[in-house]
Amino acid sequence: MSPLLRLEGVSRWFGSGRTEVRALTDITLDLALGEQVALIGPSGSGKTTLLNLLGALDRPTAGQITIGQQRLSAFSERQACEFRRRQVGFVFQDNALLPELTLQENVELPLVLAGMSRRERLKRVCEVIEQLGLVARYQAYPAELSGGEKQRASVARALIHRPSLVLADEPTANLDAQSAQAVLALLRGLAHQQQLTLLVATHDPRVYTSFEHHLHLDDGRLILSEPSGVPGLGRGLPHSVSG
Amino acid sequence: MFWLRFALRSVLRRHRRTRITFLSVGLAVALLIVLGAIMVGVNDTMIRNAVRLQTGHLAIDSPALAFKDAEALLERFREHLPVQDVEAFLPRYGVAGLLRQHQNRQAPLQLVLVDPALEQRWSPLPACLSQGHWLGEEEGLVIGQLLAHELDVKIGERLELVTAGPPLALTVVGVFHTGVDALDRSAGYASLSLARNHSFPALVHIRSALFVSSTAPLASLCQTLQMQAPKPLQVTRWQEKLPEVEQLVRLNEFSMQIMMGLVVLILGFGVANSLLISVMDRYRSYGILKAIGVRPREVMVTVVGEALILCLGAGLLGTALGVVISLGWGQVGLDISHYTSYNPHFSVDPMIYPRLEPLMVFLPQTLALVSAVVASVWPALVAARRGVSSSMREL
Repeated sequence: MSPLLRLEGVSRWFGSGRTEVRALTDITLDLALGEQVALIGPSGSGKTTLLNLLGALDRPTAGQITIGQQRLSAFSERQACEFRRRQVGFVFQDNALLPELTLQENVELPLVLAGMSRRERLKRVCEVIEQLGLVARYQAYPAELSGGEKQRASVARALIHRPSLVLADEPTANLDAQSAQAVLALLRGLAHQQQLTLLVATHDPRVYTSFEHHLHLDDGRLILSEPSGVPGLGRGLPHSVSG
Repeated sequence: MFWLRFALRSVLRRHRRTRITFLSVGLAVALLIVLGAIMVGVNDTMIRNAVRLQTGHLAIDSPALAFKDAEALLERFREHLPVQDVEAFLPRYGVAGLLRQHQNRQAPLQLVLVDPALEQRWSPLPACLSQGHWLGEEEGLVIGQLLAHELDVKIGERLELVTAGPPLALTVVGVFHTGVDALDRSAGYASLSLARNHSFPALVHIRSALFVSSTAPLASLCQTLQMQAPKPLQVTRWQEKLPEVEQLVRLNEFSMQIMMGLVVLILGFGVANSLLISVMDRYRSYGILKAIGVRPREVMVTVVGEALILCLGAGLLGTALGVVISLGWGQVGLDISHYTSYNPHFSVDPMIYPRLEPLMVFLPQTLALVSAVVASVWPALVAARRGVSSSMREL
């Protein structure tokens, strides 16, 4: 698989002097197109910070992030916005649907931003919602949906515009086991179907054990990058998860 | 369009915030319209009183002339009057003289020779009589209350009018009280027939009043009439004749502008506060939007759109409310005699009838909209400029 994302010596620090917090230190890794990776680590280990950097929501303090031939870390605000709009899908931990919009409108939003015609948008939204089994909840507002339904809708919104990269931050954290499995299976299935790169941050063993590739973060450092069950690979060295 | 729909949903979703902001904007607009209508009503009353009692909308003056020449001159002028604009033309001739009582008390008098029937119809003076009756008899004289008091005259008493020629005997038939000191102290009114039938000895000044319809363009009409008027007639607008009334009207308008400015300023702060709280309450939503790829400009559109929707809706409702109140009040009127009994501009008729002018109907709504848009820029910038990752931390 060809590398989609490359991180070289990426660090992210917040504050300065005595209040300085090193959220990420010297991260180097490659992510290939179509790869599905679990980002593992305890709370505060820097998982969300890494996802924010990969999704162009934040900029690294040091190092470079490259996507294809473009340097993500050198993007202007406008370029970062365009990148998020076209190439990234986000699945957040909880309750990340916009309360003002119905389920259909929430899912439709990335297509609106992509400038797609209303007819095409509705067609694609119908397909995805049907695929997710949410047809009966089409016009429901987020407040009327269950946790599992909301997360399925979030998955639909993250994937509907066919991005090349999907970043999921603890997507099953507040779901019961059954819903969590359903959401995860859906996310991975669709990602596989669309051949897009999926990075899921989690500390839930039920989630990360189902992934072949893992990235272990601790205290802002990438301590382990491994194929499942093969510990100790690539500690602190540039390498490709995809091997 | 999508973002305006999003803004509309945000407005509808936040019932309490929307209701409070809606109410304050609506009431502010209604208040401005009613205040504007009252201001116009006050100005109307002041102008009406002054114009009807004194100059008319257009005053026609001349230097001293023999009565017959003056009457002929005015007749020629009358021929040029545009019928569609003129409501009434009141011939008036002023004579300066001395009014002498039989006990040799005397006082200066500005006698005005008038057409009693026309004055009865158009001037408020006949209604200001405190004793006696209005002119009708050939030799009748109506004088002001202060003058009557000074000369100690009673109704029916005969007085002598001393001018350049032989004295004229006149009978006091009425005493008026206008509240205008200059009129009550030195003015007297007699019928035109007095001059016509007695080969009036003194020179007179034409002091006629022309009343025009409210839609007539006063300035251009004045200019046209002046060009057509036979010399030496002078046509003057009431604003030039009564500069103190004109100044009061301007002062009233200026006060209203200040009031309007203050209300709009307070309204702007209110809208800004309401939107800012709403924006701070929704950092997470803006974080999601930006993560999806919504541009800062589009985020701003949603916030400004909310302000527009709120103020447009509330403004329309406020306009309707203000118009209904003003129209209703305009029918009933407002008696302000308690506050103006010593004010010459209101003494003749102290009733104010609030009146709507098109500008005063649309201006408050427009100002509310402009104020809302300006006020929403700050909250919109707060929403748009907040970093994506810091917004995401709200998730």
